[in-house]
Order: sequence, then structure tokens, then C-alpha cells
Amino acid sequence: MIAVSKIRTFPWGKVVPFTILLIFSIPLILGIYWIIISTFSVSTRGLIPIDSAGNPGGLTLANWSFLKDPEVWRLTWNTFVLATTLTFGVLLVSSMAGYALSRINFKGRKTFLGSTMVLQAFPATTLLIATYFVLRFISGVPLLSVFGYDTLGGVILVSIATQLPLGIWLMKGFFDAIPWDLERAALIDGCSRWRTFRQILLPQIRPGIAALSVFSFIIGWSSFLIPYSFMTNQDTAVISTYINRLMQDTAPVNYSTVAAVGLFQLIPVIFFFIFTQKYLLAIFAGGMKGGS
Amino acid sequence: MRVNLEKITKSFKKVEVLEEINLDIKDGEFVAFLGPSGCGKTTTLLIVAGIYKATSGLIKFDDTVVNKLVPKDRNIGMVFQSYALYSHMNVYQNLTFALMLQKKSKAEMDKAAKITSEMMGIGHLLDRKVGMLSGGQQQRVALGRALIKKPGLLLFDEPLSNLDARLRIHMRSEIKKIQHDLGTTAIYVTHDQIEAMSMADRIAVMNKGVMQAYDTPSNIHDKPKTLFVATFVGNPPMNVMDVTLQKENGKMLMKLAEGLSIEVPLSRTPKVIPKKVKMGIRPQDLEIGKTGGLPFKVYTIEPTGRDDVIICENNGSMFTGLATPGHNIKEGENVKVSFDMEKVQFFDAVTEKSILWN
Repeated sequence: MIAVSKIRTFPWGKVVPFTILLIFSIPLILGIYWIIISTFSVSTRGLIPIDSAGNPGGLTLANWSFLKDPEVWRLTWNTFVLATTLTFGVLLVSSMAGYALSRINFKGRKTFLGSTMVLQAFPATTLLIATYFVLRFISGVPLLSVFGYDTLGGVILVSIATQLPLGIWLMKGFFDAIPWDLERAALIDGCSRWRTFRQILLPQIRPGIAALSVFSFIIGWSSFLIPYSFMTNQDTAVISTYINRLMQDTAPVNYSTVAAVGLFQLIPVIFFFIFTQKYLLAIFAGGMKGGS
Repeated sequence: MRVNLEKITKSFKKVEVLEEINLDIKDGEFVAFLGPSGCGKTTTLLIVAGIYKATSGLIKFDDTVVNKLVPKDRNIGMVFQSYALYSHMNVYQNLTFALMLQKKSKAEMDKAAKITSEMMGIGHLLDRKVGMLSGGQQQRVALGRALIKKPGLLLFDEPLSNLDARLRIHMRSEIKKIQHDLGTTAIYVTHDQIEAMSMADRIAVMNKGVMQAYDTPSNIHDKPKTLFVATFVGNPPMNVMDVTLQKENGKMLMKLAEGLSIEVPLSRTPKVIPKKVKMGIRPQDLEIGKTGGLPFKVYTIEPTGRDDVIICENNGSMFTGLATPGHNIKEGENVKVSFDMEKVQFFDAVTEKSILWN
């Protein structure tokens, strides 16, 4: 009788990539660990919480006292408004522009696609001054002044604009993946083109829409440069600029409080990400396969 | 519904893809558009459907010019190769989508869905998502969706290409039966000549945007109007070779090679003889034997079960013949090929048109 022995080879295929990923993740993990520890302690030495005398221990909730400050909640609301309007604005424009670029043959289509790609390559920083002048100009236009300089509307407008190249390209890609026949079938069944777009095509690219909304929301929620540059008014500031303000206080900076606000800002993003990461992956997976 | 295409042309940018297509389809007729990919058959179908606009020419449904009608006003149903089902809806919603857009009542929709789904054998699947169905079931939903509106014209765009071979044969007869029972005019685009031959009342053979022939399957097969039709239709394809036709002592002679001439029967004698002639003969109309005829060497033998396909070679030109299994022909053997002269075809080698049937 032949002995059937199970040969267990060492799973190099799993261990090696895992180790490499772990090594590169350590700085990130340590950073997150430090934030969590320091928000609950008076001070830290390295990664160990210490009290004011320098001994290990000294856990406290004092750093979270900023939550009692109504201003923080107002800023949170502002941030939320920024992130959601950004998301809706980007979705609305990108889905329609993406459809047009994917399906309609109009003059200047290729030029438009190319130039959006180029615009995407410009870092927002280089455009700050130009954008500033545009916003100042808008401030002077009656009725449009809600989108002017030093308003949340202005920040939303600029944020949407900087997000659009990515959104449009992404949506175009998803529309490209839908077979023409589906649209033809809908037209023959009696849909108008607009109805085909809404009732037949949009449901097909749901993964793309979900991915783009998650992406836009996170971008809006954590955006700093645009709100910081175009909103000097503290009433309309957002959390990220609030953190910046904390760090620029003339008094010695309380890094534990900064960490606590930072963590506070991160919480929704983390939750959002956990529930939506499969949609986010759709951005990178590129389109979908047929069936459900 | 009768369909008439008059001098339809279509160009994309400056490329002409259709050249003056003329076609008349009788009420209740089943017409197949047959041709290799890129021949313009799907373009023609989409022009009939109203998805593409013809560059010039008229499309008439029952004497009404429909060029300017949008697809939904043309009273058509269409089945696509990819099925093009609405994957976010269930079977019932897919079937009744058109009725819903026509603002039919729920009761009407239920009734129509019931009748159609039972006819298609998908009655038990109504509340399934279409993504959960097999290819054959999806095909039936697609067909049901086209039929539920009771269209005057059914359009099929290679609907069976994505099915496996067995199911394809089954659906072939099923589609034909349904079309026949309903009496709906149908246009069926395919590159599969067996589908076209077995289903259609008439076949329009197309190549490179030109309609090569429009006739019944048996005429397409037996009296091909062009060399393209002759070689595209029929399996295995027709053998073609250059010959010379000569009149001698009142007899028409076909000269195959030096010292080898065969008399052409009266039924196959062309009225006018062009300078260069190509002769075509179907594999089933030639005989491979040991004596008499053109010398060939057997290249390969391909058994298909019913017949053995014998491929022979002579100076680089290949000839295909059939033999009943049990023959004693062997690969590499020298054989003689003789023709059934009542079945040969003659074409003008320059224009590639038949000199027998034009």
C-alpha cells in the first residue's frame, strides 16, 4: 500500500507579500496608534502615554473637551455641507458629461477629453491665485455672490471644479463599458434618450456612481487647501482649517488636542470607508462584468 | 407589415458602408441578411430600426415613408446578440418595460406578460433577476420582450451567436415556428449560412456594403448570381477553378487542362462567353475515383460522421470533395476528379458575376 502523505509546502506565496506589505504599513500603523493614544493622554513619550510628571499613565478625556464647544459642531456641519454638496455636484456633472463624451459625437470631443486630462495634471496650488481673482470677480456679480470669495459656496464651486476631470473620466469609462445594444433596446422599447440615460444606463453604472460618491465625499470632508485659501471667515471654516488654527495658536500647541480633533475628523471617513470599500475598489477594477 | 428599402445608402464620415440597397419584404415574410462581418448587414438592420439614419434613400413600411420616425414609433421589436436585457430589472419588468412606457394598465401588463412568458416557456421565471438566468433563458426573455408589443416587424441581430451549438439548433426552429405562427414580418441578420438557409423565406446576401443576391434559399444555393454568393453559401464551400470555354463543331467544350476537355450540357451553356471564365462546382457534385477526370493528390481526409471531406491538391489549388465513409481513398494517394456537368456554375472571372443566371 502506498502511503499517501500530505506534503505541506511552506506558503511562500502568501508570507512574502504579507511581510512586505507589513513592513511598509508599519509607519502608518504606528502613526494611527500614536494619534489614538495621545488623544486619551496628557502627553506622550514615544508611543507611551505619560502624565504631567513624566511617569507612564496619565490617561485623560480632557483632550476631547473641544466637543463641548458649539463652534466645533458648526464647523462639522460646514464640513458636512461641503462634502455632500461636492459629492452631488460632481455626480451630477460627471455622469452627464461622461455620458455625452462616451456616446455623443460632437465637435471638440477629443480636445475636451484631452484638455480635462491636462487640467487634472495641474496641482490645485498652481491655480490658487487665478482662482482667487475669479472668486473675487464672482463676489461682485449680483445673485452669484453666494459662490464668491470667502463663502462656503465659493469653496464648493472650486472643489467641484477640481474634482471634475477625475469624475468625468471615470464616468466616461463606465459608460463606455455599457454595450450600445442596451441603449438601442431601450430606444426601441419607447424610451427617449433622456429616459434611457436615467432609467437604463444610470442603474448599470451604479458601482461607478457609488465609487465616485465615496471618493468625492472623502475628498470634500478632508479638503484643506481650498477652504484654507478662500475662506478667511471663521464662521464658515471647516474642521481641517480649525486644526490648522489650533496648531498656529501663539500659546504652546497642545498636540493631544490636535490629535483628538484629527481623530474626530477621521471617524466618519473610516466608517464610510469600511462600508463602501467594495465600491471604491470598482474605481480601480475599472467597469463591471455583465450579469447582475 | 411590408417593408421596402429604396436605394438606401449609408456613409460614416466619408466611408461608404452601404451602396444602394434595394429590398422588398412581403407581409409575414422571413428575410435573412447573410454576409461576413463588416458587410453592412447590421447597419442595414439598424437603419430599418431607426437607430441609424440612412444617408440617402427611402424606407417604407406599408407604403408609409418612415425615414423620420424615431425607433419607438416604428412598431418594431428587436432581439440583440448580447440580449441587451435590463440587468437591474427582473424578467417581468424586462418584458413589460415597453408596455409600461405606453402607460398600459397593470392588468394589461400582467396579462401580456403571462401570455408571452408562457409562449416562451419562461412563465416560472417572472420574478427572477435576469442575471440569474442561463443564456438560453435570457435569450427567451429577449425574444419575449420583442414580441410582447405585438410589433409589425421583428428584427434579429445575430440572436443565436452567443448560445451553445445544441441550443442554437433548438432556438432556430423555435424562432422560425413562432414567427410563422404569429405571421409577423421578420428580418434576421446572421453570418451563419445554415441559419439563413434553414430559417428564411428569402436571403439577402451582402458583401462589402453591396447586396449580392436576394432570393429564396434554394435559388441562392443552386443559382448563385455572383462568385461571392457561390463560395459564401454552401458547406463545404464551392470549388472554383479557371477554365476556358470553347465552341467546337456546335458543341460547347470546357477545357480544364491541356488535352482534357469536357462537353458542357445545353442546360449549362452560357449565352455569352467572356474571355476569362471561372468554373464552380460544389463538393457534393464531384466524384473522386481512380480513373477519368482531372488528376489530384489527396491532401487530407476529414471525417464528419455523415461524409468524409476529402481535400485534394493539384499544383497548389485545393479542391474539396465528399465521399461516403467506407471509401478506399487514402491520404497522399493520386486520384482522378470528375464533375457532374449538370451542376457546374460559370462566372466571368473579371466581374465575378454568373454568366448563367444574370
